[in-house]
Amino acid sequence: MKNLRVVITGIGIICAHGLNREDFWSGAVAGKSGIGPLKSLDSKGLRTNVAGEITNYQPEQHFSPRQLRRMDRAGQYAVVAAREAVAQAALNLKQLDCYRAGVILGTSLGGMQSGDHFHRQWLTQGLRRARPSLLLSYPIHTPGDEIAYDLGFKGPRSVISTACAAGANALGLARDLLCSGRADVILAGGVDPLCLLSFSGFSSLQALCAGACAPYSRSDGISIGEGAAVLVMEPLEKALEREAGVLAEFLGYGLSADAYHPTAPDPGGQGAARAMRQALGMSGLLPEQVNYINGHGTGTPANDLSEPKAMRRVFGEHLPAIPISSTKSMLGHTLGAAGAIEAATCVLAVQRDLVPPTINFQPDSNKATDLDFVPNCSRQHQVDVALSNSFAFGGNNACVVIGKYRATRKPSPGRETAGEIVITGLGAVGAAGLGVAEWWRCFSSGEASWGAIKEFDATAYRCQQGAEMPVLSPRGYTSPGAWRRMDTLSRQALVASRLAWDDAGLPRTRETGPETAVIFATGSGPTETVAAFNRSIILKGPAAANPKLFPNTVMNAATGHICLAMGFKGPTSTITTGGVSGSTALIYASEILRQGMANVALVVCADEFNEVLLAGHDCLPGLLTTEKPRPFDQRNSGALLGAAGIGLVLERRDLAEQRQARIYARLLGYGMTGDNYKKGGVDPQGQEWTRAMSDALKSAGVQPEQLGYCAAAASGVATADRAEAVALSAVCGQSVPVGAPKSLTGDCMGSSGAVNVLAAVLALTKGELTPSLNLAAPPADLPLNHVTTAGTRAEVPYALVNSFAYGGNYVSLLLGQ
Amino acid sequence: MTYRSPLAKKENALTTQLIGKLEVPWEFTSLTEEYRALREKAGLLDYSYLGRLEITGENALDFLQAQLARDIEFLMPEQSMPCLLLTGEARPVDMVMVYNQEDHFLVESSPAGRDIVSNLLKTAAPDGVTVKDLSATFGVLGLEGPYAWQVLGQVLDFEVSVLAYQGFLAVKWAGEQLLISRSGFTAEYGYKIYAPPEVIVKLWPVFKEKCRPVGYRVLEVAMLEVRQPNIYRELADDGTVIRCGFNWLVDIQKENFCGKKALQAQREAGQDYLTVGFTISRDVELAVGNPVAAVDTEVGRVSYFLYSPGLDKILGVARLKREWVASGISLQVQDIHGQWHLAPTCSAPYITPKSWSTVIA
Repeated sequence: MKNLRVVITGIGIICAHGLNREDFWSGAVAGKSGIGPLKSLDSKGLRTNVAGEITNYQPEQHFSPRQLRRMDRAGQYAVVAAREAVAQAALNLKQLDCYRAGVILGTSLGGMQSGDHFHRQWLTQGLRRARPSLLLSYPIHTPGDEIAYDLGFKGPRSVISTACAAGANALGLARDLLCSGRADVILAGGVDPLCLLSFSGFSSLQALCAGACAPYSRSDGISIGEGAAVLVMEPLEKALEREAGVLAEFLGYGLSADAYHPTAPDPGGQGAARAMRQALGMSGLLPEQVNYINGHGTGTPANDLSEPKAMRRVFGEHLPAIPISSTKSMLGHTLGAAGAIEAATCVLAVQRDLVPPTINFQPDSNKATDLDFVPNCSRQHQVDVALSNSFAFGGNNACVVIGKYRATRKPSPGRETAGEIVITGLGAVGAAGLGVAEWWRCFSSGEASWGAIKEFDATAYRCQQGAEMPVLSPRGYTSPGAWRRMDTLSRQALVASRLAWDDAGLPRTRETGPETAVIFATGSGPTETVAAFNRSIILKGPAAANPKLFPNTVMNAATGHICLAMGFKGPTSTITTGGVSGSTALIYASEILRQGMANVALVVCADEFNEVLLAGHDCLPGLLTTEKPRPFDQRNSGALLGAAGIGLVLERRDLAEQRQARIYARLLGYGMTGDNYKKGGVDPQGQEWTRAMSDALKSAGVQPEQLGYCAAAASGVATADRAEAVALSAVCGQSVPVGAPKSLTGDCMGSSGAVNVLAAVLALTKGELTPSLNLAAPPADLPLNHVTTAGTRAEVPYALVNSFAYGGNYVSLLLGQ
Repeated sequence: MTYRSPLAKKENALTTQLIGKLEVPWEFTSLTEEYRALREKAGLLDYSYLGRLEITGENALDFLQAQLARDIEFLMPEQSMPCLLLTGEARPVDMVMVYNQEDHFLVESSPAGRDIVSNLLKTAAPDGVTVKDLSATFGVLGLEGPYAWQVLGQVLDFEVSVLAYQGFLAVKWAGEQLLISRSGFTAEYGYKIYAPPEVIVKLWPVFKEKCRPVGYRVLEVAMLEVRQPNIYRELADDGTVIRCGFNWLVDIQKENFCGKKALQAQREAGQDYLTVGFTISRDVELAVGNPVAAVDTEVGRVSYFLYSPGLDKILGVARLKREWVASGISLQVQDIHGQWHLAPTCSAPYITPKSWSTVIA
């Protein structure tokens, strides 16, 4: 981890103030309200009829009819903002090494509009009459893919979904990847459209303000908004090299978990304060050096009480002199986009020495009269350093620090840099069994864990097989009360977390809590809860929304439950990038450990398997098989789905050795790439996948011939299997034994990368190679050293772990003994 | 020998009452005034009569797991939870509060259960587990009320809102280390302050300037109003865990705990009687054990009752044949003179605590 200086060279915004950066800023400076009558959704049954809605947007002015058939609002907004950012940064896309250009996006809803549309068709017209193409836009990572397709980027691509902190968190991950030399430029930001699900949910929680919200004064609820912001981030030296105009410097960021309550923020603001302190620490700044705070400022009583307390904890006597304002007072709460829009606000504030106001501010209702909330009018103010707060459901906090670009500013020394990252704990739950020993037995014996579906009636579907989760009990994992508050996904995740933590032999003390990072990964997300919640809205209207279900509909709900149950308060994030989620979470955890943001990181991956998921996949031809999954076989006809919860404990090697921990494997390198082939597809040419594998080897300093095993991502889906076979053939030739764990476990979606890590660790520690079952006829033109027999053994000094996501995203990990 | 609070000499309650061997402050002014303080602002309580046991040793967790009816394996440091302690025959001994102090546990018992809990745990403790009675070395003050947090914050220099429900933390006051827990009894914001007796004696007047002292009498009323278990009162007759509705204080799925087999047998046998709340005019003279009738047939007995100033009625719980246990039906209760009176049944909580709509600022 180098202490590189990361700068911002371009900004693009689309929001209720307008369709571009200057419209946004002029509205913000004028204290204009973007909150008005809600037009795009029926407000019947909601507690409000206003929103921060984007008006005057003509999609056809930005996209061709063909593009518009493919993209929903989330994708469109993300691309509109990205294009503007790239234009301001004057990036020459033709000269850019596309593999060194990445996209990291935060979103809470992603393609939920498309999902909602499909669900509505399904419930009202029947599944067979619902439009399957909507499902290609539904995956939450799709807006990130859209940006990459539009700009031709093929570098690291990830989507973070920590609800309202996602946009800020995305900037942080982008910064880490730039600092670790994984890209030359990253477009980072956030997007969220208006969606009935979020309106109904907040309405059911009685969290919506009837009119326009009034943060920090009347504080009687939020207004929901929509929009996107994308920032061009690059290392200073690269920006200077290409003579880019530097807008501001990204000085640092901080993440934390409240571990206080499943939904409500810590009223004392301790978690938020930890995130702010971490951000300042990474920036090498003292609190008194901050000149402006863009607050989270939602307008809920809970936030507006706790946030000032958190700020007082950090800034103490200096706080009254620091202007604080809420962008949400003008735009509404844009959920996953908010952190990015507000970071962009900070960039503009430091660039122009102007702080936007908190509008609708009512001095009579101000409960913190000594603080300067920049009431109603913007102000000229010297801003050298600005801090932006974003706090989310589940107690996920993210703060970013933006500074005026000064050539003489010294890079932050950072807390500590460290060498190798090791895996010291493993936990697994799924059809293969409870505990990693059961999974390894499955891998070694070659006994597949999938079978005929028993949990629900699958006779209406073509595919009637899968790897189902056994019934889980709270016994040994948490209290029955906490268990009742969790949904299926959170329970799977918690069980895996406990197993991994106990396997690592780590204590649960008040000291370990703030030093433990939790990075959650899911491809499917809480589909069972989302479907149940949405079903009642579709069939009975928003007034029927169940407030008990809503908090568990966010992707990061499981993270909040884990942190609460296990007392973890360190950095936390949620990666939702389809099939590469688990692998990406491992990468993010390693970066967090390398820079000393935590001493231990728990990576938790969980994916459900239920009727909704089966129905959705069954609608898309070629994805699911009616026979056996045959990865890499010429007769492959699709995959089977599986549920999983996988926990991995990562530590810095020196700390692990210090406590004499058992080390399963070293995480030595990784590669992250993406293609621009097509939405929901995978380029069968496999060039980008080849590059991901090569990058993993290169970054680890390992030659292909040193590899002893590759845990392949192949699942039985023809195009993806072919792409991987091409890549493996190009990188490893016929020398490396290749096995496909999905042939045994089914495709566990976002958790599948972590499943492959289990297989790789089995190979590294015991020399047992997980085979590709049912492989009789591999393609003759792509000869590989396939492991087709259970019980195959070999000495494995290094193992490659592959994963891919539909939409063309590839992550390879390199593990060593 | 009767136990007297360290405050007893300096802060004489108007009346006291013996509960077991403990003299508890019963009333400081009047039930009505104290009730108003507790339900509308904050009441100050002398909780020094609560029992406090320190459980130490490598196997302290296993020991408590074997004794307590709830699963405390996942009780994090600085968290507490209420649990039932049962006899081998599954008869409730007491409702205790267990605090995880990271390297040891604290078990807090009610005044009535103080001695029996102490003796039971000391007797059951295996080698390597030490049960030390700290009751005499620590005094406890309590604050209960919708603005208890405000009073606490005015006296002690810490951010009260950081203390989550059933959490606890250490705070310094006048150079003394205090332990503050948020674990009340009345469904209002409730706090306990633990300190050596001499510190408690100094703290009392400081809090007294901010809020009214309230006694055990009003505490019991407020507990009943939200159906907080009061083992001492409710088990006077043939009460069991299931009959009293204390199931929520038991994790029956837990691997093992004292009384589990007997409790499972009770569950399998099914329950003939269950408990329901009722209200009746304040003028009726009742006694525990008075008959309760429905449609001219006796269906149960009065278990426990108190006058609730909040309802201005007598509020009670009755043990009835299970088919009659439902809220919103009209029963008849016989008074001590043999007269029958209308008594509608109701579901808990019987009042709505103001704290539920009060946010810690």
